[in-house]
Amino acid sequence: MSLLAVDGLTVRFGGRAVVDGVDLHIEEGEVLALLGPSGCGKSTSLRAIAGLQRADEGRIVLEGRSLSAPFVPPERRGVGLVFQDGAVFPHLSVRRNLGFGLQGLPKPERTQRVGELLALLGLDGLGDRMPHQLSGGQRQRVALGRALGPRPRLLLLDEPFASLDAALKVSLREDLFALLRSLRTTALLVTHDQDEALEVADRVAVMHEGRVEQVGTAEAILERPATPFVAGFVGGGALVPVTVEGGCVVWGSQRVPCGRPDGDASLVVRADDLSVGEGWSATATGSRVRGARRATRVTLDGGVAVDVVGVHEGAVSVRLERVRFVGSE
Amino acid sequence: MTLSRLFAAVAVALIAAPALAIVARLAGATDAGAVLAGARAGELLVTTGLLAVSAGLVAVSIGAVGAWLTTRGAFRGRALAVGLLLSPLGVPPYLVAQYWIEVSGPTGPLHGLLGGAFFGELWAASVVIGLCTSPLCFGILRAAMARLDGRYEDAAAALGDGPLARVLRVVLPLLVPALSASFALVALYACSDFGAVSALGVPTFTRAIFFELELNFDREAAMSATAVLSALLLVLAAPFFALDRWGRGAARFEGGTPRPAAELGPLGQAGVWGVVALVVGPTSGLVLARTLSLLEPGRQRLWGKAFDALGTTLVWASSAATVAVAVALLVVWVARRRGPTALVAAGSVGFVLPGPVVALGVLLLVSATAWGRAHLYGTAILLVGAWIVRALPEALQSVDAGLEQIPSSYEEAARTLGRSGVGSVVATTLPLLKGSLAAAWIFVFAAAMRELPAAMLLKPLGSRTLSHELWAYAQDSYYADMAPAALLLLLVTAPATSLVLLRASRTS
Repeated sequence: MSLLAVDGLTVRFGGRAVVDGVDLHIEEGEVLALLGPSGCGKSTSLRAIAGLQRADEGRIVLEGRSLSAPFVPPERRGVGLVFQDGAVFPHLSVRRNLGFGLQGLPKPERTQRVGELLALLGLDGLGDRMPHQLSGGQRQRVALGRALGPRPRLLLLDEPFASLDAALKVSLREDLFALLRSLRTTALLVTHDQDEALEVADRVAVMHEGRVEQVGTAEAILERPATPFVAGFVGGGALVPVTVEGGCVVWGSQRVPCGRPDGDASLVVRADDLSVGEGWSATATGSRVRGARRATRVTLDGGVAVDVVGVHEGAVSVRLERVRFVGSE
Repeated sequence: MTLSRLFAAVAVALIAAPALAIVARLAGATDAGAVLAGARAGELLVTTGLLAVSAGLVAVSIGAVGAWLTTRGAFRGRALAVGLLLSPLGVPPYLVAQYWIEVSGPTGPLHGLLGGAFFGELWAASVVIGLCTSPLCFGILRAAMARLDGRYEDAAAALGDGPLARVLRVVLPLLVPALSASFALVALYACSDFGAVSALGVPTFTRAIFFELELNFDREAAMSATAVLSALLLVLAAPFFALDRWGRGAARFEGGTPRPAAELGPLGQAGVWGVVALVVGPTSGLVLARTLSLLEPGRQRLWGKAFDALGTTLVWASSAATVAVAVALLVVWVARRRGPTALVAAGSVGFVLPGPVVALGVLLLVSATAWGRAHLYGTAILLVGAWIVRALPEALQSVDAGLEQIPSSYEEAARTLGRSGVGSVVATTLPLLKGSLAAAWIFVFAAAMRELPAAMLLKPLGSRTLSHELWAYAQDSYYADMAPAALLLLLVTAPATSLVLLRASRTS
């Protein structure tokens, strides 16, 4: 049985379903990323799981205990939450922030636990600092330590690295997720950053306009995108409509074998799937595509633009090296 | 948290109830009292309107000149000048008005100098109210001028404008919202002032309402007449209210690089200290005269009475302040965190209701039920309630501005860490809000300490507030006997007011 089971979660704001029938299952010890553009309903889903937002429909079950009917208030859910801005209490020292959720423990145990948290999060010696005396990264460490303090069964992270600058973001992310792994913490990470999601999560749920469009490993999401949105949002690449004839994708003059029945299909095509060679004729505009590889934008005859490495300007022919369909059928 | 919403709605309903009682009374006011009130309306309308406009102009002129010279000019003692220009805010205008009568009256030292008729009552009241409220304008305008982006003037200079043209074509237009808001604030104050206009004998709405309530033995006629007058006063005040709202909204233009202060020449320095003398002169003269009159023989016996009144006023004013802050916290929290935000506006009705009008509303409300007549009439609860209604808008504003700075994520974090709804507010928002709550408490307390008309109309028999004590001495022209009560009032309210000012100057 899953540690957390969310079924048919629906949240409406003024009649509009911001979260529209979301199903999510997280296994014990797993890190699941909820990935999507801003406004897709991922943060609202997380807030509903935390109990900060009432769900209009659906069930939320944590370790076999229903949280949604009857409604369990956030303080009795045993769920930790790390906010985007950290929400580290500005009027309390680091030590008192870390001990905030431990008021049920006797004093000596609380002191001991706070000491453990300081060491765990690399905050030794900072216990008596006030939040305004910390760097952004240190504040996020405090926020995480505070949430971990009461040993929650499930940790929710709401864009915890979004307000940090790029270099710090990556190192802090590696650091903190290594810690969560070593503690075998079950976590749900909400993010709009696909690199973050693909890097740290066991599985990724891609959300779009209130619905989960695909749940799977990073490999599955990248290689077998379930919907055109997932194909476009994760991993980049162009959607190219093609036809399948006689078990082969028709790519200009090229025939590429595939295990699909005949008919119309959609491919997601990235720069490393293409080479220069006999195939689909195209026109290179000469404009460089930004990114690590020096690809060039090329317009296939018929109007779809793709990126190809090793092309300059003028007429070219583009060869398809690898077939990656959108949608399972 | 529907319970908190219910409590907030009940609190707002109670706050708005006096105003609604007046409206209800108005609907049935067709008797002789109402007719009589209507007949005097023209005179009252002209006098009140003239007073509001002229007091506003006096206060804005003083405030603008002082603010301009102390933001753009660098000179020795600038901090002192700023403090002195803010200082009259703690002084009730009626004390200054009484002092004016004392010094310019038939036995006063200025009488011969001025030839008695130099100032009409209306103009004297305009100057007194203008001087006493000029710190409000000074504060608003100084903040606006400090935010003013100096590059606009540089751009105008580059396009060929001289210094005067830059002020007229760039600076003034940019300051119009702040100027309007501060003018409207003083005009609204002048509409609601009772003490100064009554001391000087200026026939305004507020004064007419008070005397109708106080002196007309036909209670029914008095209530009808005052309901009509109150409604007319609100009609007169409405444009000022709208101007205030517009100015505050429009004044939020983008911040920029303020222009550095330039060394102030001798003429400018003379100007600054001239304005300071004008603002501080009457109040310091008042304090000096009262202190001196204490030294005269026989005054000491008056201390006992003054301390009695002080004790009574302290208890009532601090009760009003404590309840007002609690109500403000509840209403603002519910409005901002749960909605609807209109609760804050509904709780601010007292902003446009002068003291006697609130007193009328409270009286109408209490006399509407037998239970009210039997158990509430003649108790201090009426007065404390009226003070709360009257001062709640400022408390709401202070708490609202404070809560705006505190994201709801602190409370949410506390919830996920095991605190209940109320517990999370107590552990996070409350300690973060304590500065705003303290400022709100001090404001309501200081306003209640000096409030005069509601205190006279609603106080229980046999007790007196400090303000009422002062009023009684002034009525009988025993100015020197006022000394203990006046000094006690200033001693209590001045530090409180300066704390608020200090905080305001630090945040702006």
